Amino acid sequence: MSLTAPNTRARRPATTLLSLPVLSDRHPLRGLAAAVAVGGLVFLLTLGASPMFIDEVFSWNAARGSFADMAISLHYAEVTPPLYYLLLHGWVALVGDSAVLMRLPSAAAGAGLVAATWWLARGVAGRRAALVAALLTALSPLVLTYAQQVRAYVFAMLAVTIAAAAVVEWTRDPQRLLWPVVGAVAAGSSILLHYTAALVLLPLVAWTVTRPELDRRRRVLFAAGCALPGVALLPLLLLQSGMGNHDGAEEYARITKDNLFAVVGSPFDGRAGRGVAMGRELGALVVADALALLGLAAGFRRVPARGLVLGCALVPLVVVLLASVLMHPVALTRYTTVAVPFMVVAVAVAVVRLPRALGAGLAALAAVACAIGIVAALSGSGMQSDTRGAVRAVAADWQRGDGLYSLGYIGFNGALDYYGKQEDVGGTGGWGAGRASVPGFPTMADALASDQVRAKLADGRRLWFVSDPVLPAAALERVLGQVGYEPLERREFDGITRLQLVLAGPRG
Amino acid sequence: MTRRSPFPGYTDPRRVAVARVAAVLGCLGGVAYLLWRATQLDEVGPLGWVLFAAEVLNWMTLVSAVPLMWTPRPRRWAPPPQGTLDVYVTVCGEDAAMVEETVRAALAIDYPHRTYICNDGRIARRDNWAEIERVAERLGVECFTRTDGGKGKAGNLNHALARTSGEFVCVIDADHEARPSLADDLLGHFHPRVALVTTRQAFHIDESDTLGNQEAFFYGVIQPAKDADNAAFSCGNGVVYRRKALRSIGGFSEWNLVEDLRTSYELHAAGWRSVYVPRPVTRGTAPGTAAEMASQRLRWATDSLRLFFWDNPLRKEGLTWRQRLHYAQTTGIYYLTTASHVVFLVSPVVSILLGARIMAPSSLTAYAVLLAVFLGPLAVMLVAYAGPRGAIRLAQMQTFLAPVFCVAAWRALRMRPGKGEKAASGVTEKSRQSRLNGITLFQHAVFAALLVSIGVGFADPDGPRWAVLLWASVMAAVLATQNSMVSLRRETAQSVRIALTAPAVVAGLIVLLASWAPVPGGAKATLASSATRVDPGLTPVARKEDRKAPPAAPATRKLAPPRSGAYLGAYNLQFADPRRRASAARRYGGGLRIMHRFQTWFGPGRLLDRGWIASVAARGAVPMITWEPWRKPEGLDTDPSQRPGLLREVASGRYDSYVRLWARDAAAYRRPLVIRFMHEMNGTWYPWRALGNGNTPADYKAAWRHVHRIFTDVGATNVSWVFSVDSLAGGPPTPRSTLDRYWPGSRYVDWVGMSGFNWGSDGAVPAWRSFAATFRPTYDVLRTFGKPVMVSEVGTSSRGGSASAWIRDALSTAAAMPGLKALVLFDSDSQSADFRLRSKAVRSLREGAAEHDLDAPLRTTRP
Repeated sequence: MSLTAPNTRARRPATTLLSLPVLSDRHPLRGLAAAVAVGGLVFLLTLGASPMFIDEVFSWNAARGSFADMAISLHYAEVTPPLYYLLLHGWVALVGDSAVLMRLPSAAAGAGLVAATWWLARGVAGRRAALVAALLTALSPLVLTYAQQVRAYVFAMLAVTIAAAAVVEWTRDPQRLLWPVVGAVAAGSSILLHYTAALVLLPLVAWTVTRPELDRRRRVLFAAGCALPGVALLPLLLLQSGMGNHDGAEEYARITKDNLFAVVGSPFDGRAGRGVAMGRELGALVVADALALLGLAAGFRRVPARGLVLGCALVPLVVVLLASVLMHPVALTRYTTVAVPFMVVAVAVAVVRLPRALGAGLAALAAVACAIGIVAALSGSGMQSDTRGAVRAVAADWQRGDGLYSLGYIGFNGALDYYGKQEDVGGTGGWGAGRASVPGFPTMADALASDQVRAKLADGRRLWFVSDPVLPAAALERVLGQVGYEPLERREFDGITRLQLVLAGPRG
Repeated sequence: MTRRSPFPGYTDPRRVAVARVAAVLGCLGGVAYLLWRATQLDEVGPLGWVLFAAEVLNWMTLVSAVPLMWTPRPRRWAPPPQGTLDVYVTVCGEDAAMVEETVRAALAIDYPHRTYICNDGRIARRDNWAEIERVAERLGVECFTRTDGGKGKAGNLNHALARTSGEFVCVIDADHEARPSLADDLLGHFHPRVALVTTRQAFHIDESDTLGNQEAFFYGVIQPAKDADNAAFSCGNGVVYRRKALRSIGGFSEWNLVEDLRTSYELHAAGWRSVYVPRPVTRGTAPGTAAEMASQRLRWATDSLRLFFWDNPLRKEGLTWRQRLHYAQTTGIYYLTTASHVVFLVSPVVSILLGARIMAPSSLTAYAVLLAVFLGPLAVMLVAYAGPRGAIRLAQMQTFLAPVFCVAAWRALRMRPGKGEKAASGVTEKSRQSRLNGITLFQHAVFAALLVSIGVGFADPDGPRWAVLLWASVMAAVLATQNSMVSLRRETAQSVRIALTAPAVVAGLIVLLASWAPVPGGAKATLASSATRVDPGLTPVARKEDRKAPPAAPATRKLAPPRSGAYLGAYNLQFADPRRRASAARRYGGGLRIMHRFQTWFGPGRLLDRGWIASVAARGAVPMITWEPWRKPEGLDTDPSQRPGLLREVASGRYDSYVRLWARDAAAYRRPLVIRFMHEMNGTWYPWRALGNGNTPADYKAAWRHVHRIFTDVGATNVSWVFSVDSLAGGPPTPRSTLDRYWPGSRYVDWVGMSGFNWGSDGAVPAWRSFAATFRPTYDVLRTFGKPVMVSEVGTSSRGGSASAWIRDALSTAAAMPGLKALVLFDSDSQSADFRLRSKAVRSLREGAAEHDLDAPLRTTRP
């Protein structure tokens, strides 16, 4: 080897990270297609695996009725803007309300998010970073969670990513009108999908209006286009906040170790239950490294739109943490989802810009965190509470006159209603009474003391209880024994929380 | 630059003033901190003692160093230069091009002088010694190439010294370029008794100076302070010596291989003076990787410590006492104290991974406050003297070099002059610097272990120990900077540094934030683990009650013993059932003052049942909880082998998260609450027994005090603590001398208690035994503690006699015990016997309580 030959290996340290033909940068669209395919496959294959989650049932409730019902739901139950419910309303009217069909748009948006992240990362750090970002998005446990949920989060993520990518394109081609228009429309849509989009729009707008290479008038118009929907939604937000619709989350949204790791490593936080959380810790490490490198390392100062990525990744994180410390607990990843595409892009940039060994190490850590999150999410303890299984078990043995009640945590009552309707337990649309709801009680003693259960007891009817937590056998027998009943059957259903189904009947 | 201004970068007098105040405060804060630490030592293991010793050593070093650096000497511009000057460029295998640059710069010194190359490459077996001769020839400079003599720079210089004649000799290393003004700046300082003028070192390094080569603290404060006491020593480069002085001590000292310190030492001992000029007169290369820096510092430290061990400055004749102290600091105390930082590095790892008890973490807050009064002023002092970056680099460098100095101490001890191994010769590599070497492997291993410890610490099933985790995070962040310097490429090194530091910093921030809510698994887990969610029959409405705030009280109150008579209390299983609680309480008449229940640390229902205590208070009674650190086995009342070593674990802070949460709930209650903690420790049936199951009496004391401290720290001063023994079925009581071994101390105990039963004819200890026979012997022992006495559990079987009569007798006997201030019945079934009182016995109880003044009104007091 000549001593004077340029050392190309040293100058391009990351070239061997991605050496598969389909992933090479000769055919960038093949890489994109592969990433979208991976994402689509992951999202679609297990789309109906997890039972409906309490918040999904809220969406179903809001979307299935009339617009008046939707308005009531938005007023009394949600802290979200209306756009998603309007879209879901049309979709449900078109295709029906099975869980898989209602989740299908989210899966499509998830696949779209893979492509949008690829677009954003390409504008920030080139095709290799784009490919890494797209793959990370496709395998992100958090994206998987929301791409399989009847909620607006993945749509908001998609919209803010498109908005940011369009702005980056705009800075590369300042004369073209298309990009500011696309950016403004996407940004405006994002805030109509979820209020948390504002946490990204603030740095996005701040970054855009300070670009001297862009036309000043267009900058102003862009900012106005982003801000107007937000301003228009303010009264609704104040109304919903005033109703205390968020208060239920406060108990588990406090600053705790697990929540902190989860929000810092948002892309790697899935619906995995406790005990398989190492993916979150690793994910937090990866994200912290990537953001620190992007913000502080001299080797990353030349990354275009570095400030945009950093701002959009950090502002939601900082706001959520500050709000949790100073105001109300909101330390949950649902509030930092909009930052996820930017965190992913930061990780991708770090992976391709770091020296080879370090980049490979970071990529490996990210891959492990993704793998842990996905495996955990798709395992039994990563599924939502198995209300579907419980209702199917009830449906198989339901007798006219039986009563069904929930005990303990009443968050899954809506899901019992939903599956009752889906399974048509008792006929006429579930539980024998159209849209009747399953009554919930804090404890079995409360249930047995209630008028409706006492009426069933007087008639000697069978009683079904779905309980979270699981009740000890001895306690069950003692409490039921006090009213002359005994447990006839007990079953447990695995999930993020374990549900217990108890069938009780008159003793003897 | 005017001649009236001080030298650039010289210590500002205002900064000196701030630093002095901070140094004094730091010393005093250290006293407070160490005294507090000393009170906790009975709760730590051997490593905890080692840690404390290291802390004491560092404090003592600080205290001894502060007077020495009290008055940094302000040197100003010198008079005009005079005398003849020889400039020696010392070479030992350095790159010829580099040497040529250095010689050209030396030739360009303004003042008339002669330049020589002292070429030691041949004797050091370097390949390019001939090339250096050609460089000298090309530049017209005389070159001295040694062919014999000992290795080392001192020999090289002495070789040149014998062949030149200038009045003054300036030594410049081959990788340092001299400023043209070198002689003008230095020669004027040579008053007749001045032997050497040494200078600040400067390097071609970036502003961040990650490795701390600039040594802002040393050159900004230490050397000027030494200068004030005529103890400034030569740093080997950019230093001018008086030939006459060197001759008076036989030339450059070859006793050590690093000649500068020893030569200065001998000159001072011979009565010569030194001058330190805080202005760099050369600029050169410095180690660019941590491994290279460690190698360099290992040489310096070994040489210095060799001097300290084998030619100790404190005994050196000819030195003033202040010079002796300065040299003792420089050659030994600094290195040995820094070496002790290894303890700070490995302690969190050992604590987390091996469970060693290194500290008694009353709470993160207590440590933070007390450390702040110690370390806070020190940080201010360092920042005032060296600037923020200089202070940080000093801390990082000392932490990183601590293991290196341990190696140096070991080597120096083995290098007794004339009797064994000699120090290895060496120069700092200028071009091919190693990225990793043997003496930095330890630091990399410790860094990895710290990261693993942080992960393991966070995943601790009993909740993280925040203080140790924060410590591990800080150590990792400090170590990461130096550990990252594995490349000469600045951007690469910086990226590595950031990649290594960021996780540690984020972990530290998470520790700080999350320690506000130290609940294993978060709030949701707390709810899930609550008993109130498990047994619907027992606690049907507790979830609602959980959300209620405890009844407001005007101020925190604590249970006081009655002025006369005693309180009547009871344990009844039905107290836990809200539906039956009222009727169960009414069973004992209106005089029931204490309602008792049991609670375990592990398993369901381990949190303080706020609903229950609130409802007890609403009935005008005081809740008493027997708090048991175990998981009660299904269907059994004993499990003596559960969790061996439990008490040590409690004392080491393993369950602090749980205890603190419980304590906070107790503190929020504000009303009197009685805790009977780890009762019947003198028996053999519980895992917290003071003898056996891996426990010792000292462990029992330590665990009790540790838990008590947490309650005190969170403000749970409304809690009364009951030290309750077993009466051993009326047999010989546990003597006072034995109880003293368990006794946590008067500060930690409010009541002393005893438990005992009349088992009747078919109980665990079948015998019909009177109240007096059961309790009197133990009562006599307990009275000697000077605390109110409580019968914390007493029950009678109805098999083998009349329970009603036994109760009547018990109450009259109790009334005759003046120190007995509370009597708590055990009115329930147990595994061993049925102690439930029948209606006749209950009637006797109600009547007897009124008759014998056992329904004394509750009396509370401010804590």
